[in-house]
Amino acid sequence: MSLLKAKASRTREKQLDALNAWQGTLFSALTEFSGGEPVKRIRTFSQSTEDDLLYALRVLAGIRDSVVVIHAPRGCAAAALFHQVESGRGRWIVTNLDDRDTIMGADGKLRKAVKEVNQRYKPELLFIVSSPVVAINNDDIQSVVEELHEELELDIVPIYVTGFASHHAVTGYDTTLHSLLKYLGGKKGKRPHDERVNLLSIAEHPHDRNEAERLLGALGLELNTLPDDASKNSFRQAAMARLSVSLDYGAAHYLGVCLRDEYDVPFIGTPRPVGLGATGRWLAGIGNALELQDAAQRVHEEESEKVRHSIGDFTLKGLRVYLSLSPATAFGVLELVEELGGEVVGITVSRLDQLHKGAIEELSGRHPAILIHVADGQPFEEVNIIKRLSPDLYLGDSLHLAQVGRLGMPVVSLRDLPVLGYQGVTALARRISTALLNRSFGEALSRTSVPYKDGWLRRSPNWHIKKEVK
Amino acid sequence: MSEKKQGKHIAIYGKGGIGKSTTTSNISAALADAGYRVIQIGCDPKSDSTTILRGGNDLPTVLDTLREQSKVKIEDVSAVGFGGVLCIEAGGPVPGVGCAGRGINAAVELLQELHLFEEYKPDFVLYDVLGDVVCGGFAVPIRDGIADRAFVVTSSDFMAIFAANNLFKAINKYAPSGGARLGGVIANSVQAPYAKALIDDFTGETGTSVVGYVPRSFTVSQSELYGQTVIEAHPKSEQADVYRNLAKYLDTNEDSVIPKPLNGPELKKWARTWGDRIFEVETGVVQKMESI
Repeated sequence: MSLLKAKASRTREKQLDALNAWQGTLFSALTEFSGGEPVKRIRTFSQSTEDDLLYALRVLAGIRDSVVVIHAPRGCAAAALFHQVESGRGRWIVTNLDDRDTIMGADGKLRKAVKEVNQRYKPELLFIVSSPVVAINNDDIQSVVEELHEELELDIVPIYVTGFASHHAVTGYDTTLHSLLKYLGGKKGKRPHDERVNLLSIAEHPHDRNEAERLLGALGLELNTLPDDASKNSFRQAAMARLSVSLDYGAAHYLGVCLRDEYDVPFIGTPRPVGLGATGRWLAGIGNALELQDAAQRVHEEESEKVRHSIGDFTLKGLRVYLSLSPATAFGVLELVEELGGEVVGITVSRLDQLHKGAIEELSGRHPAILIHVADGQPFEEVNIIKRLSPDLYLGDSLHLAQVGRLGMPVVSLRDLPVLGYQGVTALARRISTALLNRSFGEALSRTSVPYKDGWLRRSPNWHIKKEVK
Repeated sequence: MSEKKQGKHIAIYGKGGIGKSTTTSNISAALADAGYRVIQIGCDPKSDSTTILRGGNDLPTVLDTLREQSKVKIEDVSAVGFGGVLCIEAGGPVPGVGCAGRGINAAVELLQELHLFEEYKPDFVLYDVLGDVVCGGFAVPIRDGIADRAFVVTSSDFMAIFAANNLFKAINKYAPSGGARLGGVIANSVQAPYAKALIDDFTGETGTSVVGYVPRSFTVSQSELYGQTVIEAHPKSEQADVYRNLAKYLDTNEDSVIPKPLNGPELKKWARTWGDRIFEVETGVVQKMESI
C-alpha cells in the first residue's frame, strides 16, 4: 500500500484517532486510550479554531524560492495574510473565485494566475493550494498542473486542502507534506543512502531550528532540514537520507512515516527536545540510532552544565503552573516545570491521539490527577478551568493569552519564544523570571473582566463536550 | 488506493432510466457466472443499482450507514447477490439537500479506506454511475483514477445520445491527465428499425464504437419483475447470451479511446439530419437508404 499514491493524506482522526474535544485527568486519559479507539467527543458550542488551510500555508511559507497560488475566493487569502503578518515570509496570490467560477469551473482563472506569478517571480517551485469551495466543487486542478508543468517547465505542486474534512488543523501539515513528497521526492523505492540525516522541522521558530542543528552538528551529523527553510532539492535528498529525526514527533509523524514506507528511510520516535530531561532523551535516541551514544551523552552533560550555570538558582518551587500548548511542547514543558521545582496543575493541549499514549502513560504514573483539557482555541473553557484551579503561573502559546491574562496571574507567552534544546531552557527561565518579577501588566489587565457572564462560568468547563451518540 | 489496482475497474455511465443498472447487473451476473469475483457499486442516489442481483432485498447504503454510525464496516453496507457478486450502494443525501456528487465521492473513498479491494480481491469492479449530470462530483469515478475504463449505455433516443456526448466531453477533458478512457458504447433497448444505424452513426462521428447491441426484450422485463437478472431467471435465453457476450468483451478486450464529442451546433445538426431520415422512413419516402 503506497501512501503517496492517494490524492491527499488521510485526516488525523482516521490516521491516529485524534481527539479535539476531551477533558479529564491524566489517569482517565490513559484509560481512554488504553481501550483501543477512544470515543469521539463533540462540542455543542465552539469558539473558532485554526484550520488545515492555515497550517498548509504555514508550511509553504517556509520553502525557499517558491510562490503560492491560493485557489479560492478572496477571503481564504486571510490565512496567508495571517502568516505574512506573523513571519513576514511567503509570496502568494489568490484566484479570487466568484459566483460564476463556482458554477462554470475556474481552471481558466487558475491557469492565468499560475502564468502571472511565474512571469512575475520566476520561482523554482509553485504551489497550488485548494480551498473549501474548490473541494466541494471538484474544480479541476490536476490538468492545469500537468499542462503548465510542461509548458512553463516549472515544478507545480497541487495541495488538496479542504478546510472541512478534519477538525485538526495539523491535518494541513500532512496534506501539504504528502504533496511535497509525492511531487518532489522522486519515485518510490529504496535509494542508496547518503550520510545525511533528515531533520524534520515543521513551522518551528528559526532559533529553535538553529539550536537543534547546533546540537546535531556537535554529534558530527550532516543534516537535511525540511520542510522549514527547505528547497526543492531537500525533498529529493530526504528520500536518500540514512535516518529521519523530528523536533515534534506528532507534527512530523506523517512525513516521517512516508519517508520510511516509500523510501525506506528509518524514522525514530523521540520526545520533543523541551527541557533538560527530554532534550537529553532526544539526543540519546538519535545517538542510539546512529551508534553515537557516547557523543550524545557528552553533549548532554556539557550543555546541561552550561544551562545550570546560566539559570543559577532560578526555581519554580511552590508555584502551581497551568500549561496551554501543543501536546508535544506541553509534555516537555511539564517535565521542565518539574525539573525547576514547580507543580503543573492542568494542561490544555490542542489534540490528543494514539501517538501521545506513551507520554500519558509515563506522566499519569507520576501525576494521575493532573487535569488535561483538549481544545484548540476555546478560551471560554480554558478561562473557566483556570478560574477554578487558580494557578500561580500560566505558560501558553495560544492566540487568547490576553483573555487568560485578565484573570490576574502572570502569563508567559511561548508563541514567539524559542524553547527547544538547552538554550530554550535558559530562554524560558528568563522569561518566566521576568514575568514573576514584573506583575504590573497582569495586575492592570486583571482590572478588566473576562467577557463571559457568570452564568456561563458557573457551568462545568466541559459542559459543551459530549460523547457523540450514533 | 492500492498501488497496483486489484482487478479491472470499470465505470458504466448512462442517462437515468436508460437501463444501465439492468445492463450492469446482468454483466456482473454473467462475469460471476463465469467464475469471476465481482463487486458492483451503485453510484446513484436512487440506490437501486444492485436490486436485481439480490432479489430485491434491502441493503443499507454507504451514506445512510455513515449518517447513522461513525464507524462503518464492509459487512454493514454490502450484500452478496447472485453468483457471489458483492453488492454495494453508495446512496446519497436526503433528496433536496446536500451534494449527491460529493456523496458518491465520499462513499468510494470510504470503501478504499476500508481496503475493500485488497481484502475482497475482485477480478472486476463495476461502478454503475448516474450519467445525466456530469458535474465534478459524478465525474469522480473517471477523473481520479478510480476506474480504468468507462462504458456508456445509450438508446437511440436523442436525450440518451445527448447524455453520452456529455460524458464523452468529460472523458475528453480528464483522460489526458490520468482519468479513465472510453471502452465503448453499449446500445440498449434496440428496437426501432433505425436504432442501430443511428447509434452507429453517432459513434462514428465521435470516434468511438459500439461494443454490444442489447435488444429490447420481454425477458428482461419479466426477470426484473421477479427481482432477478436475465442470467439468473432465463440463463438459456438469447438475451442472456447478449449479456454474456458483453461480459466476455469486458474480460478479453482492453481497447479504449479518447472520444471526440460533438459540440452544440454539431450535435444539433446531426440530430436534425436523423430527424429528417426517420421521418422519411416512417412516411414511406422512397430513396436510397443504405444505412437504415
